Amino acid sequence: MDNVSHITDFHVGYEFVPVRFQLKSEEVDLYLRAAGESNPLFWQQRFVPPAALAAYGLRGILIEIGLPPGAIHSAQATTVFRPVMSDEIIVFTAKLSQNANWKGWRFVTVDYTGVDEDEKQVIQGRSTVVIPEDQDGDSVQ
Amino acid sequence: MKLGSALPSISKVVTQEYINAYAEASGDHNPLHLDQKFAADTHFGQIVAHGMLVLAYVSEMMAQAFGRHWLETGGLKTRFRSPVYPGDSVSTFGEVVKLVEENGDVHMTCSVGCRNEEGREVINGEAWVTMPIENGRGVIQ
Repeated sequence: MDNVSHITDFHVGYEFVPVRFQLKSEEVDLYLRAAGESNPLFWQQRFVPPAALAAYGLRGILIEIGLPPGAIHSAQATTVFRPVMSDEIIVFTAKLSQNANWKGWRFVTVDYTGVDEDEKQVIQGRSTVVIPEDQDGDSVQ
Repeated sequence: MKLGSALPSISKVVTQEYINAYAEASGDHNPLHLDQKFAADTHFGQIVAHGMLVLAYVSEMMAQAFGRHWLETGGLKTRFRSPVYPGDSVSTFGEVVKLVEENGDVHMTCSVGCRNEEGREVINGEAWVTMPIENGRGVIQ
């Protein structure tokens, strides 16, 4: 099964397998260096940037879809409800809210929510990726 | 603090080294971001930076402007409008476009985004944050 037929198998409303992860301090440090972030909120108080939390959660969720190499992000929405600290354990759940072809591009949108170990919501959002397709609807590899 | 106040701009040069570091940190090893040979055959014709890396600069601006409030109540909704290539210089922008006072808090909405050196908006959208009114005064210089 190639990647795009795998993606098209996912119907709108599909609930992804929840992803449980711990953002360790050293991983957050890598993120902060890559983003050139110097704010002491993150380096000294050890909070996790909301964009990092979203990126890590989405990484786990999108693995299940098996996005082809040419996929690229087209939209991102995120809302946070409390600060998340390094080394906290977060569980991401997500649902597919769009899986459609438009003018040779496949648009895949995922709505996600992250909760802490007490099952209190810490983040929610929506992420859309686009994937180039050929005329037969297959992904361009 | 008033309507029209500008947020502190963040400027970065998006080098391949930062892109590689972001791939390592986020686990997003899509060859579109890392492999010149692969990227040359895509719609973009060359390597493209991760959208979430560039979005991190917008989040950095919000954290710089609003501190911990950004981590407690912040949110954003953005679109990735144009690709960012290795070597591009980008600068974030933000402006307060709506203020609503309610129950001792101020809900602030900002028009935000990031421009490349040609002035093209590579990301745009809006971000919001809530804080006690007394903390909101003077946050924006």
